[in-house]
Amino acid sequence: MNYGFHLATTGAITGMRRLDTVANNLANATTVGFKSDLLSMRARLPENLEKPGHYADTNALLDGLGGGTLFDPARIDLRQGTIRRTGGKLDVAIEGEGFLRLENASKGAGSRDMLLTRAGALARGKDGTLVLATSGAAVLDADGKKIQLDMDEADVRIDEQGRVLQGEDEVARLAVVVPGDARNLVKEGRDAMRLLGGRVNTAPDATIVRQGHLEESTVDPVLSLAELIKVSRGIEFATRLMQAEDQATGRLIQTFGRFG
Amino acid sequence: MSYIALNTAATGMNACSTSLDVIANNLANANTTGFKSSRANFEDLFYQEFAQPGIQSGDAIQRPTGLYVGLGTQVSGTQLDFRQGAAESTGKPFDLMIEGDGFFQLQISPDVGDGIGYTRAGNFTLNQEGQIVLANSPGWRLEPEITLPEDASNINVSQDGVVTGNVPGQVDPVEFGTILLARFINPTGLETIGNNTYIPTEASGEPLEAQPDQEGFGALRQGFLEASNVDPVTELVSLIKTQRTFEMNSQVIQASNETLQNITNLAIR
Repeated sequence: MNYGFHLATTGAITGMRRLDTVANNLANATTVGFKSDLLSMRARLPENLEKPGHYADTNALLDGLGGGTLFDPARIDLRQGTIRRTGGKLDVAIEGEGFLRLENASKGAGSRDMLLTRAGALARGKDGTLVLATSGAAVLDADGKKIQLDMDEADVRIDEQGRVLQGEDEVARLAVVVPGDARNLVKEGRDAMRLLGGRVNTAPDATIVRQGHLEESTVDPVLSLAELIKVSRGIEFATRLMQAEDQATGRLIQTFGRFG
Repeated sequence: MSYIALNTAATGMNACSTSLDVIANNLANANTTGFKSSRANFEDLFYQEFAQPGIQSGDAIQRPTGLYVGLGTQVSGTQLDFRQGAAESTGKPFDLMIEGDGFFQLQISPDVGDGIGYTRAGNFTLNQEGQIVLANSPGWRLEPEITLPEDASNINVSQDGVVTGNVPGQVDPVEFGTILLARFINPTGLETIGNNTYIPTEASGEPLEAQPDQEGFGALRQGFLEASNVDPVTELVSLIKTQRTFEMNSQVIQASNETLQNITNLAIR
């Protein structure tokens, strides 16, 4: 089969995956604390160069053509989202670097992986623990323990250092951590990101916890829609190319197939 | 496949339409006494894994993280906002406002919850038997019941809930009963049953009962009503934002549709 046909196909396949990513970003354009995903691509080397020595007979012309496109790993755009005032007592936004820590209760509970989030819409669980309002996962303190609020005290204050205060007493201090290597972050869904290996540092002093605020999604509608147009046109291009290659093959068969 | 994109965009539109419903309900209740606004909380759905972290890509590069594609969004729930509403002076003796934490307790239908409903709306009145009832459509009785004699006058409700009044033939005011309030550890976990009333759930915890103006409970203010805490400006801003997000998601549906069309046309010569 035509080499170009396969190259065009890789373009269509990667294009569709990019379309999925744009769709997910736009669907989460109003999700609190959401960080948009970046899907980057790069030129793929011809198979002979990717796996040297694997093939005995190679073609110098085809090696020069490249091998289509390939994904780079998905990256998370950790840019700061806009901070919006809500006035909610248990709404917190992190200004600057850092994540809140969540209890790693479900899969991989025994592993060193950590669940982190920037979605600071919190609530009191039925047993008085501080939990995420969305998924209900417990929010952890600086020592990695659940935060138990005083049931009789309605008021909760959270100061800029993340200390949780009720009345005059400090109940706990929210864990605000920075991943050792942000490339180890994997989206988990339900507002959480999994940090593989779980190596974290405490957040720098410049990081401020803002009570009564929430961090908006970092999805940029303009960029996302531009990407949407670009990607869908890219797929159109790729499929046209596939058709062109197909037609060329068809002609070839018609022309040279007239034996007898 | 762009089927994923199609479904993802659908989850976005779905969640936006739920959010629009919540906003519409808030705006419709902008003038409802004791109404508490809600907001729809969004969360991202699960992520589909296409290449595992740690595997080697073709050119021997270890991927620290893999290729993940998210599957959209969902409304994880609605969260009630129990911030205090503004005080409206009415001057009526049975209009009560809770300044601070707490709910009035009402005897609702015994089939609903444990038979007690909780409300912030304090527009009370008397029924034909002289009992204090909420002036909403079902006319639920206040719990614990307080009955006033027919000829009582100068009704006074103190800050800590004691109902007193004058009856003919007695110089000193007579005490008719005490209004008790209830409080929840997690009021955002209460279930809304309409008629301005909430019932407890697993998430809200058990009600804690006490007299007003004590143990962290709010004080009663006679002759005032608590206005709805809906902020029309914030709601309208959310309305615009939600509608635009809805539109953007519909664009994704169009784009994936065109993509699928291109692909289907591939085999047509």
